[in-house]
Amino acid sequence: MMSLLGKLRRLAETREEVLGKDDAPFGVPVEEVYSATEARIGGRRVLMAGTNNYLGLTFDRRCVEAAREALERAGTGTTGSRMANGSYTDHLALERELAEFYGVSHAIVFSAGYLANLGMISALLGPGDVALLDADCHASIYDGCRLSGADILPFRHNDPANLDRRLGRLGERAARTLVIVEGIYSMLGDRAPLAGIAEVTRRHGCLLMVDEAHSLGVLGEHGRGLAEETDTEQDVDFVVGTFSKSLGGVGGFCTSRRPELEMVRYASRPYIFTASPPPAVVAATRAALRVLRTTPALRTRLRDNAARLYKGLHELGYRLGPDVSPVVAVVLDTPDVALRLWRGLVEAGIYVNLMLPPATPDGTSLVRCSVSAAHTTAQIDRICAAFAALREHSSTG
Amino acid sequence: MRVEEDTDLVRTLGLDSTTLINLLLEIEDTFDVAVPLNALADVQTPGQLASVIHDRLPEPG
Repeated sequence: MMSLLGKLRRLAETREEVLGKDDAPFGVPVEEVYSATEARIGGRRVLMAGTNNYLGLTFDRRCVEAAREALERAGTGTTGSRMANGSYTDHLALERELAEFYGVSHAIVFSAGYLANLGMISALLGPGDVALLDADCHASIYDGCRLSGADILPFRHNDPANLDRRLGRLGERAARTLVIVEGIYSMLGDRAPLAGIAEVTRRHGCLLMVDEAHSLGVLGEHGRGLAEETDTEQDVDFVVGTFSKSLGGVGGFCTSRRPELEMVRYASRPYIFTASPPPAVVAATRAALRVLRTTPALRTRLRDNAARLYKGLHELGYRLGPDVSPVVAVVLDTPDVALRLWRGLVEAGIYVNLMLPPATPDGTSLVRCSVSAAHTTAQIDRICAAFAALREHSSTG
Repeated sequence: MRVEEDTDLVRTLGLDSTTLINLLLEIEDTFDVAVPLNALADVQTPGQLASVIHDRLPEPG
């Protein structure tokens, strides 16, 4: 049996095996942030192409001013949970506005996107219940399932027929099953086949939860995500999402037409036992949601940028995820090749994400770009040019 | 490498969380049996894995 500290020392050895003495890919010091798309790293001005800042709102004047006003008005933090310390006006207003945006009656705000999944899944499910989740779901979904004590059954990624077989095998337990999928999967940028999944879920009488973390503000005519885009909103019981990507803040939420959502406030430990989001964050998020709702041009710009980068990298012969989305993932043969490409890009002044197993599907190694509406066409072309210069050294899986 | 009944899945075969889930999907499809991820928490060897699957197979006849 390995000792407590021995486990961490083993991790240090693994880190050195993969990265050598350089741990830069997983904790780059960002010395100064100039804008939604540029920062100083290693003393140099770098183009940021790995930030999830899909609508580029982190420096939007309306969001910054809203945060500044709330900071002066309500202070730096709430210093406790809403159950103990109460709900600030901004918390309640954000929940009203989220419910209105999704056209439902109920919304609940969590202090992080991670906590939204932890909090919702652990409140809905308990021992004896079943979580049937897409195998490629985010760690926060798996962790929420673990916290619940329910049986965790993954189904094959994006495969409604496989989901159908697994639900059939459950028999009467299907009635105590929550099916969980994501709008856009964060590693490869592919979308769930939501119409098929919703049909199977409805037929078996289960509840359906969709995590729109990467699709809020990205997909759908009004930016509500994949459920809106695929006209399946009536079939989705719970939408979970985050404020930390398209909305440029931090925090998470769940919306639902089901009144039982309100009782999650009494049943969800990740909601009850943590401090509520600070006023400035909530105010900035409200402002960002208003911008998202009133500026559809941002989504158009984002889609154009995503399509341009995807096409550029595809033409260079890089192997990419199957769908065009703001997550543009390049699949490499080995962690070494991915690390080399990542370092080459940073040296060329382009910051992207390095993703290695086991965080990735099927043991793949990825260099992941995320596109922003704030990127200019010239910036997208610069990213493509940097990938082009490194192409012959980057065998692609 | 020869895999024995008592080969350590994690230390010897390097099974991580992703490969474990892939293995689970294969097991479900091969044996037509629902094995929850939680049931594998204490499984360290192929022998223990076989026992978990066996316990969930329907009674013959």
